Parts: sequence; C-alpha cells; structure tokens
Amino acid sequence: MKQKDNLQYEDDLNKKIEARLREMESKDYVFAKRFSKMDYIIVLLVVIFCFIFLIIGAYL
Amino acid sequence: MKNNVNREVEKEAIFGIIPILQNEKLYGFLDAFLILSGYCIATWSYTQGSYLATLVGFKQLLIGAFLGAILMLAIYQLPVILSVRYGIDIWIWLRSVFGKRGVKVMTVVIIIINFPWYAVCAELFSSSMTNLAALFGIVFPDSLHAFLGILCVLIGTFIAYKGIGAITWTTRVLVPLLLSLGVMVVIVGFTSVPFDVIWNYKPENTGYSNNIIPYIISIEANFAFVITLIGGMSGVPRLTKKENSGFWAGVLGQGLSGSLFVVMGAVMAIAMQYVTGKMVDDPTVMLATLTVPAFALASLLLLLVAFANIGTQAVGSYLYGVMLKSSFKKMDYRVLIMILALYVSILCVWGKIVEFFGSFLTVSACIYAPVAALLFVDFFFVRKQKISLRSAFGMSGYNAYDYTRGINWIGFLCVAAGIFMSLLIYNPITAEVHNIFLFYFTPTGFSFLGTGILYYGLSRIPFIRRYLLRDRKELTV
Repeated sequence: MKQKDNLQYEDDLNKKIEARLREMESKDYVFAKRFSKMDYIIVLLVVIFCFIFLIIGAYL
Repeated sequence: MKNNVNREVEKEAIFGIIPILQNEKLYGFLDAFLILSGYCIATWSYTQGSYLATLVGFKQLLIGAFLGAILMLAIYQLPVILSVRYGIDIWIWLRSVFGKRGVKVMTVVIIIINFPWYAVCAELFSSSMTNLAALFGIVFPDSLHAFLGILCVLIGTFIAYKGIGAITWTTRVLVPLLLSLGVMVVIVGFTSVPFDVIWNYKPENTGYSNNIIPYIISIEANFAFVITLIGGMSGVPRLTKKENSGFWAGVLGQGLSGSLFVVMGAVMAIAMQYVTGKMVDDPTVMLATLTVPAFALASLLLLLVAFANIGTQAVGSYLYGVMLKSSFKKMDYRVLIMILALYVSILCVWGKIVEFFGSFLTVSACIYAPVAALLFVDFFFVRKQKISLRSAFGMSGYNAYDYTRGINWIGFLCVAAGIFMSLLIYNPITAEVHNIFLFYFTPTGFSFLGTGILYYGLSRIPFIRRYLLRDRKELTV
C-alpha cells in the first residue's frame, strides 16, 4: 500500500515537472530578465572595492 | 492530523523541487532582501561577533564582517542566477556536478556539517536560562546544562512536527523578536560604555605574535560564516522575477543584515569585557548586566531569548526536514526531524560546540568552499549556463547525470582535493598555520580557487570532458 502511494507520488511529481519543462521550452515563454554585462561589471567593482579594503584592514 | 503534516511537507518538498515558472514568481528585490535578511539573523550571530572580537580590533572587525562577507558572497552566490532563470534550486543543478545519487550523499554531508549551528543555538538557550535563573537567586547545577539545551531542541522539533502553520507563525514572531533584541543590544552596548572604548577596541592577547594571522583568521571566519548558506542560497532567489534582484537580495541580505548582527554581537562582547572583564556571547547576560534594573528586565529577556532560540531550532528542523524529504522521498518527515533532533541532542550532551566554534566554522567551510567552487565553475565555464533539465529531474529516458552508478566521481574527487587544500595550509582544530604564504588567501579562499581551477583543468581533458558533458544533446532551453 505504502509502496503504491510512493509510486503515485513520484508519478504525479514527474507529470508536473514535465508540464512545466514543456512550457519553458515553448517559444512564447519569457524568462526572467537576464544578468546584464553591466551587472557583471558592478559585481566586479564591488569585489575589487571589498578586496582593497580587506588589504587596508590588515594595516589598521 | 499526522497525515496532514506529511502531506503538507510533501507539498513543500514538491514546491521545492518543481521548476517555478516566470508567472508564478513572487518577489522583487526588496521582498527577497527582507526575507533573506530574516533568514540570516539568529542568536548565533552574537557568537560569531564575540569570536571575532577575540581576534581583531573593532575597525578590522567592521571591515571583515561587512566587506569580507560581501566579497565572498558576491563571488560564490553568482550561480543563483541559474535558480532565477530556470526557477530551480541549486540542488537540482548540483545533480550534474555530483550525479543523481551523489547529490543525496552531499545533502547528508551538508546537513551533518551545518546542523551543529543548532547546537550553538541550544547552548545559548541553556546558558541564557542558567544565567537568568542566577539573577533570581536560583543556581542550576552544571548537569542541567545539557538538559536545557536538549529541551530547546525538543520544543523546537515539536513546533516543526506541527508543520507549516506552526512554522509560519514562529517565523512571523521570530524575525521581529530578533530585530528588537538586536536593537536593544546596540542601544545598551553604546550607552553603557563610552563610544571610544568600542571604536578603539583591540584585543589584549590573541595568542599570536604575528598580528596578520589573527586578522586572516577573522577574515576566514567571515568567509566561512557566509559560505555556510550555500545549501539554502537559492530557495528565495528562485522565486524572484529578475536575475539581478535574486542575486543582490542574497548578497546584501546576508552581507549587510546578517553582518550587522555579527557586529552587534561584537559590540556586546566588547562592552561586557570593558565592564566585567569577561567576554560573553549571551545577549541575556549582557542586557541584564548592563541595564538597570536588571531584575525587572530579566523576565522579559527570558521570553525573548528563549523564544528566539527555540524558534530558530524549529525553523531549522523544518527547513532541513523538507530538504531531506526532497532527497529521500520515501522517508517520513517526522522520522527525519527526529533524527535531526537526536543529532543536535548528542552535540548538546558533548557540550563543546561553542568552545570549538572557530574550528567548527573552518571544518564546515572545508567542504562548502569546494562545493561552491564546483557550482561556480560548472555553471559558468563547464556547462556554460546550460543544463539538461530532464536529466537533472531524473525523468524517464534521460540519464546524462547517472555517471558511474549515479555518482560523478570527478565532482567528488574535486571536493576531496578542496578539503585537502584547505587542511594543507591551516589546521582548524589546533589553529596551526602550515603555510603562511598560502594562508594569505585564507583556507576557504584558497580551497575555492584551487578546487575551481582543478575542476576546470580536468574538464579540459577530452575523456573527462566527454564524461562530464554527456548532456549536450539533451539541451532544450
């Protein structure tokens, strides 16, 4: 009985996942706004800023 | 009732597994930032703050807690953009890195090394209760210490046992409670001790003749502290509408809000050392010692700190219970949270988790850093932001991530190498530095860099590349 429930659970789950993947694959699907070049540049600047201050911190 | 809880958890586990579509996304940057801020703050932040205060001065502590944390977060959390894009948890992507079975092994490993945080929480509960009882003239015997810790675990587990309804209410009360506790700590800390004392604070004796070593250990502690969030870093961002919102919410939620609580812990510890000569990480003792009348405040604090620790335990048991349920679908949620409770209870009986806090942090980071590096390199450089979603979800007929009987040995080899790299330069148990040059990178930083380079290098070897990239013909999005 429990095994049957587990199989049903997995089956339902896989059906839900498949339906969603199909929707994602459709041409009309709009993905989240992508991380832009500018976003990567901002991340890089933040990393450099933090790194410089960490080095300064060693001399305080 | 029992079945209801299991069904609710199953629903949560399903919600945690299935890809979230763009029209189902709930959060913008601000919502995600606030939720993640709440997720990052807990009473153990005070333990981290007082630990850092034993290593470095206040100014260095500020730089490390905020900028050290943000530096590590901005790098290792970049792959959360995959979670926003595909609406999936990083654990789904990690199936491509460790294999379908391998990811289950990693889930268990991550929980084993992460759950001792809840023993820290239980320890704080126990010492708070003991100290408050002492204020009322009641002296608890030492033997009661472990019992009180276990009591915190059991009550927290009981709330988690009641399911999502109880957890929702706990979170609603817990976050404002922790915030108000934090505000009280700062006000009391800065008003009971001259500002200069805190601002110009430097530890008297760090135990190291070379001052750079405790500074690097403090940066390592900050790296290790923030990297522990890797397991749950994509849970909220995958529900955000834009990739940059999900990313920055995580980085700033922990890097600003989480770090603020670490600094509050340091302020408290420094103020207590100035007044009593003893550094403490227990907000109850600090507030009760530095405020007048202590006795009147004590009852209120008892409720605040007790609920904060129990609530943290409850939320942790629930989240990790759901995480385990997602990996081990056939196991009963209630059995899973009982196992977690047993694990924390054993740590409470051992009773030395706070004493070995720094070691615990670095030991756990030994494993987190290679995992974070693998995810980063796999996403950006090996799979170049494309994954076979059907293989990752284990759909019938799609086996790209089966590797060798469900395990990607290249991924595990890299994790082992990353752990070795970390231990090569620093022994977290004895706090002994083995290689001072490499130590400048910090154990976590070096392990992250080394593992990433190793994994990328291996992925360029043709037969390993073929082994790793069996999924290319299955790509659909």
